[in-house]
Amino acid sequence: MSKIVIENLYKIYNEGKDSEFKALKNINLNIEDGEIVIIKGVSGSGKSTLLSLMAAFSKPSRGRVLVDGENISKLPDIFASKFRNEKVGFIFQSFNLIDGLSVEENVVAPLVLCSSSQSELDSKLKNALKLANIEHKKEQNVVDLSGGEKQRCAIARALVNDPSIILADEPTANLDRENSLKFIEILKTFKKLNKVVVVATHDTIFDNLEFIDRYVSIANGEIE
Amino acid sequence: MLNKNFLNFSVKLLLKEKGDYLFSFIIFGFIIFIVTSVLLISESIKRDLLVALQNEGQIIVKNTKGGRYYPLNDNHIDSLLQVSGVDDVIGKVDGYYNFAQDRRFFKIAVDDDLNDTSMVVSKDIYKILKDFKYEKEFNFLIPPKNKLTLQIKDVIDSTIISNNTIFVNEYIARQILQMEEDEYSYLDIVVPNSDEIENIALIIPRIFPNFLVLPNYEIEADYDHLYYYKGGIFMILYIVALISFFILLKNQISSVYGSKRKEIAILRSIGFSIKDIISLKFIQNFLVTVGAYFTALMLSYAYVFVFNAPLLRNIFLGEIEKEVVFTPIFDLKMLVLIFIFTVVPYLASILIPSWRLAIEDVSEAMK
Repeated sequence: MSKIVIENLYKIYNEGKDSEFKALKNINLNIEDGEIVIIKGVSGSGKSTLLSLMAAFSKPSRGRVLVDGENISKLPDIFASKFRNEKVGFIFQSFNLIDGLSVEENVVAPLVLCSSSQSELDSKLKNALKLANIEHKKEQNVVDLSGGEKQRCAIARALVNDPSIILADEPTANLDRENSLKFIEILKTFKKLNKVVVVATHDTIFDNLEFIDRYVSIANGEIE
Repeated sequence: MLNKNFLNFSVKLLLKEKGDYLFSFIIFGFIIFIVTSVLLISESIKRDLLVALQNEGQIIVKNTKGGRYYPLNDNHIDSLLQVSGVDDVIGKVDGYYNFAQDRRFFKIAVDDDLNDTSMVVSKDIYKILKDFKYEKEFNFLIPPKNKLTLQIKDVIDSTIISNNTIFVNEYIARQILQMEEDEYSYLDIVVPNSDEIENIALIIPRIFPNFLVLPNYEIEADYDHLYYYKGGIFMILYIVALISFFILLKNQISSVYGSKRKEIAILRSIGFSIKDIISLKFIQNFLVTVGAYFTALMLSYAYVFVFNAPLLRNIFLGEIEKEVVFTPIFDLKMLVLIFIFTVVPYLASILIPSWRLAIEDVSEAMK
């Protein structure tokens, strides 16, 4: 059974109105366990929308997304939130860290919803910081970090709950080439950890990478 | 989901914006402080007046003649005892002594525990007497040429009742006020059945048209009216507090829709449910508002009952009655009302916008 199954997925904004916009049209996609998929497309093609539906950030207009056989598209908020918290790690283009908190406070945020013991919390935190190579900055306020460090902090936060799925939306858009290459190295680590990784990008740095399992092109809301 | 980690995280987020929260804490606390102080003063004064009223009969009767108060006598008592429903009629002696040296009147009230050579005065009066070198005793001048010397046995706190009062026994009071043995300043009518008070209050003027009849509920209503906390200057204070409160609420709502919007969206994206967001905001703002509420209450109690409400007391008592102390009161109903009308709207002003943002589509909110 595929890890993620996307069936006849539509996302239509302002449906039935003059300003109706079809962001996604009849998307069908299966992603296997441990697979790394790059979704390529220009800005406005629908890649981010597809990722947000896979993360249960929003609900599709039609169709469904199955993760481990469970339809996540119509989940009530409390279950959708639990799904996001436990199964998905999301890396945003603009990092979306909470300013004013330190690296470790940002990274630990997804864990505060579980009543883990302090030692369990510390162990998960340490592991995530180490994987993202940001351990040395753990006490630093995120506003004082460079772009690359912010992204590593965001990666640590995405990994801290040991999710099976990592979704990254334009992860290198705000990074220089050096840090973009570092991100690609981190993708390799994800591969070793047998995570499902879906990256939505238009950055050519991801082209022709041998460890990438599949490239999917999307244009005007449709898979080409 | 509430657990220790969640509580710690909520507090960390709160401390991240300690400047903003401290501002809210101070403004919110100050509003509660002002409102509570005003209410404590007015309630304390009312309580003193009502306690004094409880020591009187259910109806007070005064005699008038040509528009002036005129003493009552034993015949009046006998006649009133005939009225059906009246259980007892007690003649009371009080009045005013003209302290000509300071051009002021002292109230003379009866305390039968005192002997014929002593008196008890309030701190206010003692201060005045001291200014005129009467530190241990005082000479009452009784026209035409008599002098009555009384030792100052005790000096009591000035309350709204006692601040202008000299207590002596009834015999001495009659001498000072030059009243005969069977004369009384007013009569206390004891009516055991409270349902009959109104009826008896209507019957008495039919027997004695010159009598001024004051049922205790009317006096109570007068006191209430006198210190009605929505009246006059208090209204201005409340309006100022109310406007400040609404400005604060608006500020809070704006901050939720502004700077906190992104934060809520980030938390939603990492798995916080709508309920978790509401819980988080509730914990943070509950700490601020309840902290401010109890701090303001404690400060109000200290301000009114320890420091005697400097500045604010003048609104209630004027400049003259400087030594009056406010009797401490604890009115749970009043404190609960203040809580409901301040803490609850404040929390609502945070939680409702937070909820509205939390139910937004996460991907839309992140844009």
